[in-house]
Amino acid sequence: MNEIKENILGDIEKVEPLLKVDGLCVSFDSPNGPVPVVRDVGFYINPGEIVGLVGESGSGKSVTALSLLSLIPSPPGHITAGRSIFEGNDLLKMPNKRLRKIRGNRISMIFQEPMTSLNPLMSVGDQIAEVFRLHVGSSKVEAKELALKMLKKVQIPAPEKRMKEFPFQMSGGMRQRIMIAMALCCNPTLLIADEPTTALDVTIQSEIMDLIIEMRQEFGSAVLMITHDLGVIAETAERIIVMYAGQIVETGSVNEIFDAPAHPYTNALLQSLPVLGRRARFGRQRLQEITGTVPDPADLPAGCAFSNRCPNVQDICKDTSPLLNETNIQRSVRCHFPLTLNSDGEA
Amino acid sequence: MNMHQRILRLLRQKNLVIGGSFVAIIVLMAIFAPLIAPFDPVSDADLMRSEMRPDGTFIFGTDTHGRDVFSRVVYGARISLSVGLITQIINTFIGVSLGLLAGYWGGKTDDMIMGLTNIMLSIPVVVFALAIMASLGPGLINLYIALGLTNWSYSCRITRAQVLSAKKADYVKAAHSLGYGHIRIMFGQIMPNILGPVLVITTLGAAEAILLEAALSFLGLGAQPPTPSWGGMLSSARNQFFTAPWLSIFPGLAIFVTVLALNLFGDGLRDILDPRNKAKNVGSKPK
Repeated sequence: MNEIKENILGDIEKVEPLLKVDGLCVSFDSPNGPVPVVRDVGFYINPGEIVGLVGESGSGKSVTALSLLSLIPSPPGHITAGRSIFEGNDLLKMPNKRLRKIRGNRISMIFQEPMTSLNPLMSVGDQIAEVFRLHVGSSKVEAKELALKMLKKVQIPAPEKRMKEFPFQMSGGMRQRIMIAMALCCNPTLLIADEPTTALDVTIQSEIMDLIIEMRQEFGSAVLMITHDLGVIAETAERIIVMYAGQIVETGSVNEIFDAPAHPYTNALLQSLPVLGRRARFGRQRLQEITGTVPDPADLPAGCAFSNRCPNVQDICKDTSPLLNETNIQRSVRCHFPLTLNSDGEA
Repeated sequence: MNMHQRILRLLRQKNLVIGGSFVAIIVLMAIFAPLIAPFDPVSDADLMRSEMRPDGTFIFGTDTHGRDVFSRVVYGARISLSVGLITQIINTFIGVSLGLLAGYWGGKTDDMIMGLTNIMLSIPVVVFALAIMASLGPGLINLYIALGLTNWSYSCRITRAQVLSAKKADYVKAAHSLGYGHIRIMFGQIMPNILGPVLVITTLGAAEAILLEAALSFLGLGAQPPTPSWGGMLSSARNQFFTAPWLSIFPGLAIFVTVLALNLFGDGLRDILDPRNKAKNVGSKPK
């Protein structure tokens, strides 16, 4: 395992990733002792890249994102191990004061619930302006002007009028645009989007996704897109990380993951996606589902975490945890019997 | 929503309108007491017209010293309202600061502040105020201090409870993710969102403070004679209750109306500040 790790380390240092997470472990206290929620998660994000982090609810994807900025509520949450190197510094060991200068400035976050993520008693203009006042140190007047510019950038109609309005006067899509505007105020190098479209209508979803992509082009930020919706990232992300029960089970480029999933879980996820035109190609079929539920993090199976739901389960799966095997820098899979890997280990 | 609609919406709250108008009348009465009162409350004493029934000249009658009861009631509003206002400013300041600290930091800070609050709550306010008054001596200033220091536990507990729920709100999480510091989050994000219930408890507390002042003045510990205070007037009228009932009825009525008005006003404030009602009234439709 260590050998493999050093191997990736060697490879990664050549591409100079923007963010490199390594061996991240997070546990939450419970009455029966600490429960591991994120287990040995490691990944990297290159500058300007969109990376999708996919998994079911409870797979630890949001906790992973929150712990990057030390935002998990503590207690009960604890980051027990790991490194998260961002621009040469370990975010997890950074004192809070320095971390605050990075939050909202170098690394920004967008949340799932635009309806409640804005302060209900502050006009949206003031809320955006406050970010400029804090991180840029602008004067009141300057901050207002900059806030107005941001509103224009995120394509809010009649921005001068909207500046003075309060969140309750706006729709969900509009509020998410405001959140994006706030997140992009300081031109962050990394934008973490935690299910940015989950709470929105489908039509608004695609608008917001388009906006995020557009904004990435304008600001050059890398994006970590967290979602449980594979459809959302199929068209946007360049690489995908699949998480299951707090572990990374597969990583790869979008094409690799969608065309040749190696982990049975990824495959099952893709099978359970409704695809337009599937009937024409394959005839009438029942949409596949994954039987069973995500295991309780306090009571994980002894071997592979997916062993109790895996269609290809063998004896070894039930008592030995598979390791994350890298076939190359982009591609890795945590399975004893990966689906599509050839004998030489290539996908 | 324009100003006109906003005012209309406020006018629909009966409690607020009725309570508010009475509070306004009493406040105006206190401010313009010299213009309203036909006699001086202290120096216009005349033993020749002692304990006269209410009539055209003395509409509330006269007291034992021949002073006009109406004038004394009007001037008494100054004492009662100043007690309500000043003690509630002290109470709210102490309560909100401690509540914010306890709710935001939690842990040991919370335990300590809540312990202190529980101790305060376990001692009856009157007994505690009496103890302070006994050690400081009677008088109006000491009354402010005594009542200001005894009644903050309610606003402290309410603030803490509000902070506990507000600090889990998504906008506070978002503020953390934007790199806002603790002070900025406490005062910029959390405080404005918890002020509604605190305002209500402050208004209701003012009514309670006025009652307490009356009680302490009745016991001879509040404003000292000849200063006109409603509680003090009641206290000196208790022997003449059957011979000159107007001496106790009118100051008593004044206390009753003021406390009722403040309570109605507080209830009305609670109704309009309740976010669930707000959504209903505003109709929160995006345009």
